[in-house]
Amino acid sequence: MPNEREKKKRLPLADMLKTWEFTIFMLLIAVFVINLILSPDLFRVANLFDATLTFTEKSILTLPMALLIISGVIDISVASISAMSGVILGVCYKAGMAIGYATVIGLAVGLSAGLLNGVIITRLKIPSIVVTLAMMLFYRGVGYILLGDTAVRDLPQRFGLLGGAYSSTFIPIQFMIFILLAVIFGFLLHRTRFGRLIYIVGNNENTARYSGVRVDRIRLILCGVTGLIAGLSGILLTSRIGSARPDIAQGNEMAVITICLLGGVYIFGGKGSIIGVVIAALMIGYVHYGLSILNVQEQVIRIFTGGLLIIALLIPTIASRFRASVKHRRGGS
Amino acid sequence: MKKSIVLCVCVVLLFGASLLFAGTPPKGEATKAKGGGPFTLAWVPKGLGHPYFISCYEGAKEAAKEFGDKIFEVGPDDWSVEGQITVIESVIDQKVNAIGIAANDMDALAPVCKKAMEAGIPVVAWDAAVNQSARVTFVNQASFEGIGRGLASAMGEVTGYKGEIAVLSATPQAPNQRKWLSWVMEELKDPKYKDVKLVDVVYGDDMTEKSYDKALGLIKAYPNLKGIIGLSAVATPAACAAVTDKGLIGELKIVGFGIPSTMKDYVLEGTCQKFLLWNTMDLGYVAATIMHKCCTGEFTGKVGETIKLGRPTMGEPDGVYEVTVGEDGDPYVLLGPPMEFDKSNIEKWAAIF
Repeated sequence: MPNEREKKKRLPLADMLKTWEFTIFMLLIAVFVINLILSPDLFRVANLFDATLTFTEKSILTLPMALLIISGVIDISVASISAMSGVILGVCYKAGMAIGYATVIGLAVGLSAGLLNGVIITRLKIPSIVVTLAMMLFYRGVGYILLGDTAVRDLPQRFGLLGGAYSSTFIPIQFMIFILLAVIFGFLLHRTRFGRLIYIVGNNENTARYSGVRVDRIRLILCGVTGLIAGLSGILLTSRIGSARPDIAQGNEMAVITICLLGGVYIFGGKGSIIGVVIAALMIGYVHYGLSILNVQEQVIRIFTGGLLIIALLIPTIASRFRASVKHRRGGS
Repeated sequence: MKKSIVLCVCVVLLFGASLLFAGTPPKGEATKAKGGGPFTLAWVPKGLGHPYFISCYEGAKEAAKEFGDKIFEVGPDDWSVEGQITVIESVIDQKVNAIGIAANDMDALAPVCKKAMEAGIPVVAWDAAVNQSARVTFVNQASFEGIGRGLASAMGEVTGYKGEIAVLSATPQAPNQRKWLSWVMEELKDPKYKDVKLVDVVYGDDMTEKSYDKALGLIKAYPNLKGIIGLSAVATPAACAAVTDKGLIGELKIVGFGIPSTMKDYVLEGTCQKFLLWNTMDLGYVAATIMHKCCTGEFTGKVGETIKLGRPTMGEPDGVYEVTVGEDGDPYVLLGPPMEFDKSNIEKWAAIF
């Protein structure tokens, strides 16, 4: 898009103001300001970091999910992978394995689950939403089969630190992991050749194929990475609640996809940025925190989040319609 | 890509700005002296919108009103462990004076309840306990043994001590469900139940529709089924509805937990012969009273400590409760024996709750 680049050179600031990232960044600021007004005493920095504990597990998952969606694939089995990884970690620990090794196995389970998704999607050419819907049920089922009605309790104290839960560190470890991963994924997507290929694949799969891009390999790698991070997310959650359970992370896949869309990732692929997703994750997290600190009931918070997404998705459409109609009127007169 | 760098800078600035705001110490809450009042009590049920928990909250409100405390109810809408953890996190940040919780999981809620205790907020468990290390005390609605054996013997009575029976429970992880179930099984080992066969235990997740479907599943899978024990106040009416819809009134008998107002019709038409329940309003009342006394420092949860209520309850006509040691060795407060409801007294209680 040479045209756009030219424009950017001329008016960088005006162009930036029009970006989606800027819009939701303004929304994020609005969320902070409203929260500060509504509960000035409570919205303090220690609380702010503390509050990240309740949404970091979802937030770290939005990063690989964004890449995956940009490349034109979606994975809705991530929450089930999280639960399965957590459960297998618990089972390994119960079987007498050291917690460190059990954690590595949990991550490996996530990675292999993601790769399995990727292989089925790319080799069998089945739409990813169908494949991962099936795998969502499958992985969740594995968790339930392994632990059944029970939960693995008494995980060691130091493992609990990983989830950042109630540790003495000012910034929770979880949140540091999120920031680190955001930088890595941002670099990968926006600064490397691999990142550019992701956009190309998502923009037009066929063109990419004809130009010699190894579409399937890219998607397979991204599926694997998503699985790995889903495993990490499950392990962090397991660590935070101090017990491995098969029923954790229910509904996280939808929360993660919501954040991605809100962050400006185009659901049919080809568009999106990491910074947008990071801002969206913080925004959703603090909207939730701000509302729950006011004791707004959970059902209402859900309506709020849904409304926010609809509004966010409508803004560009309305804006472009508005622009078109203005152009039309000018052209007509 | 300059814009992303600019945005990064903005985010950092924003955090910086909030740091400045953060400098001001919290007013009010921190300076509130212990022993005074009024206190702010957070009431956290397993989930929202259930008649059982609504009636518990009624009792809690009564106690709070007595002391002039402010009480509010927050809970997860999806009845999940994670939802409940988030709720507790937010009430800790609000610096409430005490938390009363019906835990969705004994262990998973423990870390966050411990965090509350470390922040100086006493945690009183009611209905379903959290680990001993993460609570001041637990108001137990009834001893697990009494309930479990009571349900099994009621089942034996109505079925004439023979035939196939099944249990419809809520969730497999909930500690109270597990313990009741194990005591039901323990009672069934008695020789007088030698002709009674427990064929299945199914879980309806405390959701009406799912419980109903599970009950229908039981009826289909076991044509000779003679009775279903409903282990929660959701499961029992759902099982009754399934039996009524299948036209099996009188052939398939239901006993279990129930709330008088929702069970009234089923008892009167004969679907449910008998059900047990403690007085839920008393449960809320006792728990909220203890929460208040924890705030004032009058109550510390030690074994042998007694507590005097503002009014008599169904279990303790003199309104005095004592901390005792439970089956698992942890101290708790026992609400008293459960009540039995049948045709003779249902109408009176249905009008109350």
